[in-house]
Amino acid sequence: MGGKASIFLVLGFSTIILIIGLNMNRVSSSAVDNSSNYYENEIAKEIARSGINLAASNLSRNHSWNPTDKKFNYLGDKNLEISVKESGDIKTVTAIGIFKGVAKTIEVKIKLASFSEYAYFSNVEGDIWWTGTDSVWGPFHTNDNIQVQGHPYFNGPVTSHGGIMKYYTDKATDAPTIQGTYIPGTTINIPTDGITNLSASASKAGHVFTGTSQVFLKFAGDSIKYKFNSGDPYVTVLGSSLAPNGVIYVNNGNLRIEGTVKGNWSVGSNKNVYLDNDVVYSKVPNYKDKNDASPDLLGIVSQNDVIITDNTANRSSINVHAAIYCEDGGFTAENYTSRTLSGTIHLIGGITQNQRKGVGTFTADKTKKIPKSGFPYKDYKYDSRLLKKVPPYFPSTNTFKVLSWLE
Amino acid sequence: MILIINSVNQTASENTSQYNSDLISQQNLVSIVELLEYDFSRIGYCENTDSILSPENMITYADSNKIIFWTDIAVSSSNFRGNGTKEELIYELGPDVNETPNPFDKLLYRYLKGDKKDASNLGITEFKITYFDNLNNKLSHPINTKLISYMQIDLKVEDCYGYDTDNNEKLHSEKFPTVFWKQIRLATKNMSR
Repeated sequence: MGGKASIFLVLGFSTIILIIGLNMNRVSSSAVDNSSNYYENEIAKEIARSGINLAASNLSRNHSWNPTDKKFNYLGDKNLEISVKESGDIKTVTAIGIFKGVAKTIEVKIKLASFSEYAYFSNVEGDIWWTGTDSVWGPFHTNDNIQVQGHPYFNGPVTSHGGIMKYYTDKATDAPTIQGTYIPGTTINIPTDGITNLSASASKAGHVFTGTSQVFLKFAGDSIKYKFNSGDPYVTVLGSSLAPNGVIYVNNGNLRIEGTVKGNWSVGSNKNVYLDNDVVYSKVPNYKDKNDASPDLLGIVSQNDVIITDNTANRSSINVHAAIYCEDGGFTAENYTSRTLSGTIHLIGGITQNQRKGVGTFTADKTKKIPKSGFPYKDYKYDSRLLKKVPPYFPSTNTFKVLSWLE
Repeated sequence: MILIINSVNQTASENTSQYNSDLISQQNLVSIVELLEYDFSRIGYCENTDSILSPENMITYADSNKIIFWTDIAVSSSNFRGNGTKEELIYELGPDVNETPNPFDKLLYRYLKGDKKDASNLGITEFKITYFDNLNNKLSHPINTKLISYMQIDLKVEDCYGYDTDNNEKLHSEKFPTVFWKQIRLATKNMSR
């Protein structure tokens, strides 16, 4: 009897211990499952992210890249699927990463960027510093280092080629305020064919002036007025008849412009473009509103410089409404080191230039900033519409920008 | 014999309870983290690209345990795209629950602006967000949302009910199993456009 009881006791205890053991085992397995599921999700996501990077890399080299075989080997056999769809000027890149049966999708919308989107772009900054009285609203890029003194202010995404923020004294004294992202190590080359492409567009359905050393062009509502010598009378034509696609180009001559712009235009020259007087929109946009309905937009494209003429009209400030592009030169003022004090440059638009150039001078003491010549004051306002709108055939950066990223 | 059986039973019960508490806390943490990562990756996203805000306007309020940002909520569990209308999503740590043995557990609210606050108690005892600017400087209070570039999220989850909670000889951490999660991350790819 005692033996039977012992057997029952042993069997009973064994059963209880077995049940407890199984329960512990289940708990441990579930805990490991949790970790591994999270890990598998993350790996699948990382594969998809790699897919987006792979697509971006290929698209940057070949804008029409679209893989015929959409499945790639990545951390496994055919574990990555990439597709590219186009809708107008927007491409949607989709990458699906698969890891151990877990699939994660990332969808990114991208669009070719134009130089007109920049509030400020330079290839070379030279010896000009951003100071405490400077502010830039809108996208900023330089292929040089950003040189700062006395806390300048940047409102918008900032990118630079150099990973160095160059401080005049030290970080504590000079560090800029950047409202928006700052991504160093980004190179965006100014193309060598921006002007050539504009010329080709003007030849197709715009207007090309040839055989003259200069063209005086005046925007006057629906009309375009032009002449070849300052003493000549203007020839007046309907703008849409002169250049149906909105591109006017001067081949081997300087372009001198002024007036009130109505509609979408790009004007340029493979020499210099001079601003002889105000160049303004007929309907001035609210520069802060990227959806502003103003129908007017101007691109000024120059092989060399865009220059504020040293004349009577420009001695008491100047108003410029345009996206400016200087392929080899920069935005500057004629005789800026010696001309009389000329007030303020009121710009609504953006500036892209190969070489940052001066528009005025101050006394040698940078901290006091006593105006000496030219345009000592800059009132540069970024036309937010340029985030969405591009003047006709304005040079492209040949790089894609991300419109939205969805995981 | 009875004493031995009782002792074995007690030990087994305690261990089982502890292991289960660990598992529940871990499961809760993973659920929260997956939701956080999902939502935070969509800061600033909108299916309608014309409605996308500039990066400095994507986050509208930020402090150490509350954040409000623009996003486009997924249409459904099977369609991760938004409907093209952006909404303001709020993450907010609530007060102590006071209805469980754990004195520190709080509710983490996740709701759309204008909607009713709702949350279930997953045993969160810490939800802290630290913000950094473009130059990796920690942003101090009050946070200027326009300067946010990176975030560090600290999350601590404890079991709400614990085991042997009346035993004053035990430390809090012995009564209530705890799991941590910390991540320094770029807030969202949309903010680095």
